[in-house]
Amino acid sequence: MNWKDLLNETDRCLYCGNGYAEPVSWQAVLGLGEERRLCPACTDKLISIDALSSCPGCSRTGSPILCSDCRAWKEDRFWADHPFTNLSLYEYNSWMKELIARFKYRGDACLAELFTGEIARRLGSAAAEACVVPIPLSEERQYERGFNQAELLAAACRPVNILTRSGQAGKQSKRSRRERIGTADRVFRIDPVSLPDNKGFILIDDIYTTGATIRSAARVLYEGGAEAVSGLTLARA
Amino acid sequence: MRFLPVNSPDHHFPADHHFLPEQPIPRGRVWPVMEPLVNSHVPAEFLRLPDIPVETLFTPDPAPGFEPDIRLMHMLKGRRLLLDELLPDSSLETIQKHFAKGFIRFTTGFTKDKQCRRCGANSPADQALFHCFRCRKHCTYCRKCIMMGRVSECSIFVTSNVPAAEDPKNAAHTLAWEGTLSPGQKHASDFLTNRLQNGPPGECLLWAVCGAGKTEMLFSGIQKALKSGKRVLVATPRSDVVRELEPRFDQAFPDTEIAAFYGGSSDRFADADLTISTTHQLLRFYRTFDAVIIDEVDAFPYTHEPMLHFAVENAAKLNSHKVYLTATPERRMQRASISGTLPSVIVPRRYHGYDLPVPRFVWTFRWRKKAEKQEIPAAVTRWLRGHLENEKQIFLFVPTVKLLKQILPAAQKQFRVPVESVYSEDPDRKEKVTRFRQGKTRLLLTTTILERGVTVKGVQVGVLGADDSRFTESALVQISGRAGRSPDEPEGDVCFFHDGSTKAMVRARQQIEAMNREREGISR
Ligand SMILES: [Zn+2]
Ligand SMILES: [Zn+2]
Ligand SMILES: [Zn+2]
Ligand SMILES: [Zn+2]
Repeated sequence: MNWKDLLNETDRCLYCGNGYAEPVSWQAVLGLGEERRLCPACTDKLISIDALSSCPGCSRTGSPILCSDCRAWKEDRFWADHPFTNLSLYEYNSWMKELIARFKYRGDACLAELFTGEIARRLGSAAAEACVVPIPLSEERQYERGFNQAELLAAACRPVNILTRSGQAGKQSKRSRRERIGTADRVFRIDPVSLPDNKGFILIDDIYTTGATIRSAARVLYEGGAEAVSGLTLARA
Repeated sequence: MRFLPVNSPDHHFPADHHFLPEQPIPRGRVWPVMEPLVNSHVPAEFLRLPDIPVETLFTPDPAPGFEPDIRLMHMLKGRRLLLDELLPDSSLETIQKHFAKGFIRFTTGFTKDKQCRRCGANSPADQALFHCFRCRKHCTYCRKCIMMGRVSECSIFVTSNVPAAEDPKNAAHTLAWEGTLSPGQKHASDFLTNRLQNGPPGECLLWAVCGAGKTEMLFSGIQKALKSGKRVLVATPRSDVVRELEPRFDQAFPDTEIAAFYGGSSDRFADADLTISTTHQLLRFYRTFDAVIIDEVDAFPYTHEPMLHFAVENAAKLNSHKVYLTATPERRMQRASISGTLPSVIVPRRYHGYDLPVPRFVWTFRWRKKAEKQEIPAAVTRWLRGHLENEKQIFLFVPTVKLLKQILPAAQKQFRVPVESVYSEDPDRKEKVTRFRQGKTRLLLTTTILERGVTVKGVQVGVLGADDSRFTESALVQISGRAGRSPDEPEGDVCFFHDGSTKAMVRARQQIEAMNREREGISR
């Protein structure tokens, strides 16, 4: 590195560690752009999901109509009467996959800071009226990891931990989708036993895959008296 | 991770007696029991390991007659591992019991002055804070070595507290390699053998030009070291080199126990006679090697990457040999070699004995502007055309991926041969390099990533924008070293296209010319 690089370099990417020159903008001057800590090369790989060309029920990309998964959920008697939609912010491309792996499995907790601001912005005023609930981990898993990734992602939305998760479910990824849908139901509990006064709830998680996990938590909230439950996840697998 | 500090055995403490030491806990000392093993109803204050003053922590002497768990002690042989790395194969109960019997030691994840014990990083930029569910506090962790699993303030490193048992081993260490060494290689091989056999422990440098054949120079020295009972490590920055070296060493030393470590192979045991490892995996070893040979040591300039040197210090025994192997030592090391403070041997000739191709400088006025307009400067086009018409294959190095993408369409349009581009994060990198090796691609545009390791017969080498600051002296020497590797085509054209030559370019050329003036090995 020579003096030219040093002069140009104003910031370091929180993810890849490369230095980059951030163009001076009004946002930066006003102190608004603070959480933008990805370098341009990484920003290029972070692909937002366009709401107009993705499933309105689960943000699956490709088509703006309700996808086959969401239609299948609706056939379930419970989901026919209880609305649930999920919004995912980013595509689960190989870059995002690696990022989430480093965040969750290697334990690089501070990577959540890349997204907390955007999550709060996307929830907007809804977050103020509703109760924002991170999908919990089992006690054992949270001990192993040292943190709950969903809770960290929700950090800027005043998350409330009112759900607990039992540990017997085993590793989700190792079982088939049918098994997951079948066993997910008794995994979550409300704790304390009754819900807070809010009527609306927003569940936060890192990845939406089949929707089984987040819907199983939503169902527990509905059964506990919630009027409306929706979900937001960082990525849509 | 939290501990219940126990001051005496009658501390109201319901855990199993296995968790207590056999010796009485001396007055003023504390004995830690890991939280999950203690009934959480115990009204006591839990502490993190770094919160317990080191001098009060009690580690008993190894209990005679205790039969340790072979698997656990095997994992810990010569290594320092996080508790989390042991848990998949062991259990908290087993680990606490071995601690009580004095067979293992606990250390904190960070030193008192907030340095990561595994990788040595201590700058705030390499650390972050999170609210830790294990110690229920704000807990600092190291981001520098995060890819090997998190080291945080409450982490526990485990090491063995008993001397490694000397198991009877085959001491023959036959060297089955039967090739011939070039005069330069022979010189270096003798130097290394002499140092490892008779020399005092310490550092030395083996400076061998690209294409000198450095692996063969190591064989004799390694054999003598192994025969005298030394444990030898060969470390290299890239995992593909580990995979390439392993079979070569296996063939050369058919009755020696050899272990290879690279990403994803971390669960293997570390008590082989000869270990081949990536420099990253080195971070898990602890005071176990008598001789450490570090390949491509210049890949980690000391000033920018102190991590490697920290790792080597940790992995090596206190009095050990360190051999630095490189084609392009950084200037600090070059100076130490010339002044004689660093014992060194130089191999200035390639294995085939021909001169190294000397780079030509071709002034290419405003190449950057042209490239931004997606044009290839005329001088470069002429040079490429000339070689392509002679059916030569060409590497054209460019400083950035952006530039690579800007000129690729022009190159594909202008030349009627298959042209491809490749860069470090290119998902098709392997396939593209293979196609170039097979001769299917005639012109390969590339960023610096291919400077090391890739050898293609009869290739010509160009650098578009050699004056860019990314092309350091050592990068340019490595790039030039891609040409003329084969004895059938020892001549190669190396061309630096620039818009005002830099110190790095001039020094690279001087280094190559200086090597060409020498005939045989030089030792200092
Ligand atoms: Zn980046
Ligand atoms: Zn859908
Ligand atoms: Zn570290
Ligand atoms: Zn902690």
